[in-house]
Amino acid sequence: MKSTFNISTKAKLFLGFGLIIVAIILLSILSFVSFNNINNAQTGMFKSMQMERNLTEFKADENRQMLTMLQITISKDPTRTNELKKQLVDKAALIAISLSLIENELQSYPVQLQKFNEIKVQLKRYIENREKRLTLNDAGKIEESINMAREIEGPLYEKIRMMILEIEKDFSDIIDAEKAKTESLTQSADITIIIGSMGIILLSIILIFWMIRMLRKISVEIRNGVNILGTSASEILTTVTEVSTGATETATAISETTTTIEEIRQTALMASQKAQSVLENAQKASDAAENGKESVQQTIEGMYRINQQMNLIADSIVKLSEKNRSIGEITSTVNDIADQSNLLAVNAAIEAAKAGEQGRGFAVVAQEIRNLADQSKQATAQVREILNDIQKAVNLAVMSTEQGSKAVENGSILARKSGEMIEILSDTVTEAAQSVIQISTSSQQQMAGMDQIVPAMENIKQASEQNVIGTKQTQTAAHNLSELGQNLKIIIEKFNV
Amino acid sequence: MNLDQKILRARAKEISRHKIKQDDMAESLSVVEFLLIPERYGIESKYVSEVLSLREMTPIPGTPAFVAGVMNVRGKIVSILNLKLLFNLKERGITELNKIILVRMDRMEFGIVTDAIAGTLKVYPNTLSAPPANLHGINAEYIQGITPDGIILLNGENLLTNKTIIVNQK
Repeated sequence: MKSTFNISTKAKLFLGFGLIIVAIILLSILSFVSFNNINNAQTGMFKSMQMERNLTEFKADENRQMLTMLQITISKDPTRTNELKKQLVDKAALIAISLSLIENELQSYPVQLQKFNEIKVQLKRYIENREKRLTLNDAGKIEESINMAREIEGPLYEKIRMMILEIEKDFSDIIDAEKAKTESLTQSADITIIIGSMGIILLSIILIFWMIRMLRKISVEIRNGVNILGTSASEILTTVTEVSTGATETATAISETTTTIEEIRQTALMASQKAQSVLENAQKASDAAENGKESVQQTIEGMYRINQQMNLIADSIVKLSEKNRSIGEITSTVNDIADQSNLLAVNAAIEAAKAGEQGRGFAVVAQEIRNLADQSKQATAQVREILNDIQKAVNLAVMSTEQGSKAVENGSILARKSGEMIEILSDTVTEAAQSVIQISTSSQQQMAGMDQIVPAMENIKQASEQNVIGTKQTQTAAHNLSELGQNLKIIIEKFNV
Repeated sequence: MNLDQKILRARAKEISRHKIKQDDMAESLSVVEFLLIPERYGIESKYVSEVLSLREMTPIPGTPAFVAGVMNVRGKIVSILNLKLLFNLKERGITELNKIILVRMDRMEFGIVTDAIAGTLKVYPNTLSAPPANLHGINAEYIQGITPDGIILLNGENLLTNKTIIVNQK
């Protein structure tokens, strides 16, 4: 029903207004045509009037020419005569021009044209006559000139004048005819317009009634629609309010998330920085380990050198010991000699005792030998003491050397252990450094990720905000819609058809 | 304190040695002093033929314990006696450091092992004192006396003529 209603309405609307428009157009065309005709008639009338005027002017000019001729005829002054001649010539030219114009105009009036041609012929003869007259005047034959004037020129002119008058009358008739035509045209136009207008008015009135009926139907539909609109708007409003709340919550959550992400980012940054500093420390430790290794190496070398020195010392001590032993042997030998001397002395003393008185000198000698032997013994005893001391010192030195050697050995072992420890430490530090590098990298990646998340979050936040704004706008729109519905209702009610 | 001092002075006098004139040559004996640790012994030099250090002593099996062995002294085989075993002194072993005193009387000759030869000295018989009864188990017949210095003077004659020292190989 609706569709057919719609199509019908459209067609009817088009039809109705179309008709009116067509009517108006027709009326306009008609009016236009009438006006055109009237205009043409007017133009014709004006042309004829113009023609009349031109002819009159021609007449006047010819009169003037005649006067001039007369003046020339009676003029005695050559200067004045020339002047007048010039005037004549000039005027003649002008007259020729105006005649040609008139001829042009007469093209549309063949009858009159024919008459005009005749006039032209006559005029030509008249002008020839004038020329003759001029020559006569120049020759001084005034009397002949005057005679010509009176006998030829006069009548000619009269003829011309009569013909012109004829033409004038013709044109006057034409004018009248035109006038009558104009009047009739005007009348018919009036009638047509009135009839047309009345038709249009009738059409309009029919259309108005039909449109009112249609509008009433439409308004009913609109009212229904408005009601539905109102309800829908309310529902939309409710939904939108809910969405708005949801969007606000989302926005809050996003804010919190953004803050959390910022914190994470800060932590990641700190971790990265710490990792960086740890890396630096690891590097330092590594360098220190390297130095330590070098130091250990140097220590070991030093120990080796000390060992070598120790060995040299030991060799010296051994040599010393041997020398000591040699000395000991020698002193032993000396001691033996002393012993033997002693025994010898004792034997000598015994022999001396056996010899009695004779042996007294020998006994003294024996005693001296004994003393010598004793001194030797004492000396050897001292030397032995010294040797003993030396031996003790050598022993001490050997012990010290041995202890030194042991200490060097221990030191070497310790140094080697230190070296190993440093090696382990260095490896550990290197591992730690690598781990730190990995931490740093992952931390960097974390931060890069955060950097990516932050703008994304920003986008989400903006989108959410826009969402909120959008929902608010929707809210406003729904509200407006609702109001619109209300307004429409009011308007519809006002628009009571 | 006066009494104590007196007593002490009396004791000092008793113990102190008397200075003997060295010019008194008539009664002096020339004694060879030797050591058998821990005691100092002496023997008259008239019995001593020689003093020498111990070298290459050959022990002889089947001989009494106090016979330490025999020694070649310039081509002569001399038996060596260990007085320590004879006198029942503590034996500390015989080394090259020990000295041998060759003692001789008539045809009896042997060497005695000593720890060291102290030298010769003059001993005046009138200064000799009698040996105490319990002197290290040495038979009293071998001891002639004790010098003021504490040297045990051996009776060389008794020592050389004692039958116990003669080893009968049969």
